[in-house]
Amino acid sequence: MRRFLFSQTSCSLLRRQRRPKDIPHRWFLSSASFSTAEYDDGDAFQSSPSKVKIFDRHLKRTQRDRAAWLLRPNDSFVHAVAENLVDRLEDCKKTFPTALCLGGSLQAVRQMLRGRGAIQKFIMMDTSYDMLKLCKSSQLDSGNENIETSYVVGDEEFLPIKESSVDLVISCLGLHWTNDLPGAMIQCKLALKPDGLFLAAILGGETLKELRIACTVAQMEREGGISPRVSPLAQVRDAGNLLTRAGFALPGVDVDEYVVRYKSALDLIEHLRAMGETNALLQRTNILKRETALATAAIYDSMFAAKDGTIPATFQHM
Amino acid sequence: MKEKKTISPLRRILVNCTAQANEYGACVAAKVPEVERDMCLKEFLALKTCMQNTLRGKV
Repeated sequence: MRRFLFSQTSCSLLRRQRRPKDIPHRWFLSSASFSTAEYDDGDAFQSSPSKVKIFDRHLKRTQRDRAAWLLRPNDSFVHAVAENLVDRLEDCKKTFPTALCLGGSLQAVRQMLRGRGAIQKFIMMDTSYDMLKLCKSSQLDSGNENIETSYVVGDEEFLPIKESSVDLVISCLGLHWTNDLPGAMIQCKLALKPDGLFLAAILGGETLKELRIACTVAQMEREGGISPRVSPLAQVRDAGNLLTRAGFALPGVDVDEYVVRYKSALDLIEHLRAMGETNALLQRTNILKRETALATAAIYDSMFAAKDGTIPATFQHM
Repeated sequence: MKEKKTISPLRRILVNCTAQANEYGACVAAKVPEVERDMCLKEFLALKTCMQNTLRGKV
């Protein structure tokens, strides 16, 4: 799995953190507004002024609420990803007293932490209130009581965190739903102290390519047109650019591919739903005709089935 | 949380109509990448009748 490993040291060989001089000390209280329509934080980065809205964040929040109820506490896939991510903490010698965990699979990250990185204060942030409630209620039986944890409801694109206040930012499978990934990363960087670490795991471009193909073929055969069903995902080659553009020194990207087998296409969809990863594109058509769904399942089976009748699904992590 | 496992209709259809689904899938898979509309119509209609039968109550 590719993770963004960012360690900004004060060594003069590496690019230093350039602080724009006109940013005051901003202190956002937890933002209740999730719309990306008015985003006046233009002085943080000088990219194109037009805000591209690809994902429907309101719907994403609803899906995360549902996932909070559906996700089993021992989901092996999410735990494998989180374990891999948190492992990276052991590669660094320094300790991280304050850590911020952005949404995606918060609970898995916390369970996998088990004292790595010497984290004393943990801030968990998610757009979905239900997910945070779940984390809170399971805090008592996870054995991490000596870590002071606080829960914030917030949007990854409008980080309500004071600048230079956290040592570590972890995001496990959350950032591929942001409308503005570079902007979100820049905000993470601003929240980090100098010499802080940014670890993230996002899904890459090869993810679910079988599903993408099956959906497209089925829809073309049944209806004659196609509408996007799988969200656009970052390509591997762009990952390094994203990191340097956000201003991180020492970027590192790894790729991991998991091929998960399901008994049928329906199981795959149910798993995606339980993880909160279902379609949230703004361009989606709400209508999925029963015939098209049936056709998709049949085509997925016939094109990609293994000999024992299970179907593979690729998940590529960066 | 679901207390009992409710089997969605789509799953029932897929379980009942495996043969027709396989035929339809094979037809499409053979013709990828030139996919046109209604190119495997005959197989799909067989699948559709099986689906309607399943939904009507396992006729």
